[in-house]
Amino acid sequence: MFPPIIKDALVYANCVTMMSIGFTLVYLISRIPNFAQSTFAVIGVYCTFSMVRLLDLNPYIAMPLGFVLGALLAVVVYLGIINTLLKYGAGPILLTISLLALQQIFLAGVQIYADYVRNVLGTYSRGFMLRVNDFRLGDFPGVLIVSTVIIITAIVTMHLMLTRTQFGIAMRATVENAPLAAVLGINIRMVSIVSWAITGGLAGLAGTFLPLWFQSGPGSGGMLSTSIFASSVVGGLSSIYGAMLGGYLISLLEVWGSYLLMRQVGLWIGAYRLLIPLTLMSVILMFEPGGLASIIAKLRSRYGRSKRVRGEEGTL
Amino acid sequence: MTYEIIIQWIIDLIMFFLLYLIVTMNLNFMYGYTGIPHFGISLSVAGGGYVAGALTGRILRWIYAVYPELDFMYENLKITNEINAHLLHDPFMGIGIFILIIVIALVLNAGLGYIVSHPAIRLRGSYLIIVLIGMAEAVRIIGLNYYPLVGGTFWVHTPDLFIWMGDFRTKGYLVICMLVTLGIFLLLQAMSTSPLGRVVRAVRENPVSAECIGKDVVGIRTKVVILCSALTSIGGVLYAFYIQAVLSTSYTRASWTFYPWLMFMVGGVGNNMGATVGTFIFITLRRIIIYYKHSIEVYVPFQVQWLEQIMIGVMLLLIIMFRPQGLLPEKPTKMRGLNYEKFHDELASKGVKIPKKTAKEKTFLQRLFRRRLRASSK
Repeated sequence: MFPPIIKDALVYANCVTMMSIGFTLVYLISRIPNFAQSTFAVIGVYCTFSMVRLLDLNPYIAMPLGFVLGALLAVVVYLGIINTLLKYGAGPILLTISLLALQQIFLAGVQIYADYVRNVLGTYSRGFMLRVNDFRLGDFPGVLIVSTVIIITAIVTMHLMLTRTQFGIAMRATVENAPLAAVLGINIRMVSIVSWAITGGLAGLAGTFLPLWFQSGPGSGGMLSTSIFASSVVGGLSSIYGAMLGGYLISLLEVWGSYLLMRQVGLWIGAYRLLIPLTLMSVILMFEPGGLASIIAKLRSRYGRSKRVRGEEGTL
Repeated sequence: MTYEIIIQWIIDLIMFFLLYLIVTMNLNFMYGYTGIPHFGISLSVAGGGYVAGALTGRILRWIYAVYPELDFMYENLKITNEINAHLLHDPFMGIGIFILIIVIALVLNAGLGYIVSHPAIRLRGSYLIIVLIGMAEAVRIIGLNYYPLVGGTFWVHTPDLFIWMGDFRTKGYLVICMLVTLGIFLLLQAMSTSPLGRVVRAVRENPVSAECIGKDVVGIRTKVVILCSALTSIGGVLYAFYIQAVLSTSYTRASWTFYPWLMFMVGGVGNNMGATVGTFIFITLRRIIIYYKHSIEVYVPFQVQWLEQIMIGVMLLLIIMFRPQGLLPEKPTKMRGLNYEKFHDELASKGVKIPKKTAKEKTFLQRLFRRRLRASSK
């Protein structure tokens, strides 16, 4: 009665949106695309794996662990690499390259862990799926409920933080104009650290949900990364609300689109699922590089409430 | 190591050096000279490989009419062996097909380069990086899943076009690859000192001012991407004919995008000599690691390739931090057709001071290890 494809799509969309929010947040604060983002998710995946397969515990205990690990790693990355490089005067391209290098290092670390688990502890550690360890509530799998609750909580908390707290306002000021914000006494370093922590934490959290519904392994990050990039770019890379919209749009279209195509054309087309977000991203970039955020802003300025048109340089 | 193994090891080393050199030089022309951060270069290599894998066997089967009733992919080995038997007595056909395949690869990959870069070539670097990474992944996925192309997760054999060389085959092919690489090197070197090279640097340094003096920035960037994608695909073709097979799984991001980037970052951004030096250092290091891998594997409970990946990543981070301009930094290029002595005299007569090279600057070692803490903000 509740088609499995909808569950598939919603779980996937929740995870992708969590990560694209983080991706956009870091892009806004530090002006670099965080290519190590999907790797934090892989770390989350292995948190759940260790909890269930190695320690025989409830998979949801991995949630806080994944969040904290992701956040800690992200802060270490920011302070250890990004901040140091900025001090040496590196530009965005060098920072991007360094993030790609970090992605290689982290992935290799995860692979070493997987190898270690397989060779020393004798547990199969790649391509696992832990659906049986999840609880069910009627027709709904636990991961769908929990991830939906988490994403709604995250969005509401973010919104409240950005609009009601002093720190959130400081963050928005940093995005608008970092040097000016610094002159006004905002601790930009702190803002950056917190935004990197949120990013890493959300990615780690998203990762802990993945193995409960999808087959996962060290490669799941690579599978997700194209969807994350596409949703952030479609969202506009200029506002986290755009990232939310883009995340749901892209991942739902990706899952449903490939499902429909598989039914109409044939099963073989499922392998090219990745091309859907990529095509959408290319189309958006060709016709409206500002993404959904700028489309909405344009519509707003045309009909009704007049707000200034936001271009590429956006606001939170 | 016996004599044969040493010879084979050296041939392997030179071969991989040449293959990666082609990729690195083109990457250097794109990023070092023009400032296009092409993070999907593996797609051009894969494109070249796919052309070689998909077309060589099919064209030759059609020419020699070998087993027209069999399926090309399922009976690949049988067909390839039969083609090789024909090629053994037909050197001109081998050379002709080799040139034809390179031409086809050039044309197709020029188109591919245009398509993948078109959505984001006019936007900021980050967008371009995101799109190109995604496109490289897409090309890899297509090769991996579209069975008739290069056999999906399996592989496809390519006919040995130089089988008529007999015992001299490996060395002969090495010489051919050297000539091709030298050709590309000379072409890129000539381009970098030509008026195009100067325009391209202007685009890198300041796109806005280049646009102001009437240069078509987007057009120049597109042209460079098309040209370099086409030239890079030659690397893929040479690789396919060297191992006489095309494996779609071998065109990963790590091995054909990340390593070439590392190589020219080590060597020096913005000059071909730097790219050469970096590639040589890196390839030698990697071949040594691969050779001794099995002796390390006994002591650790995981595969050594992950350790290698971590090492390479850390190396890249250290280079970015402490020597972002590479071992051989970029020097102002000399313009062809300009008489420098006369030019200097003219400048001196007008009272312009020209900094003279000091003896301290001249020694190679000092230039090699001179540290600049303040990185150029690129």
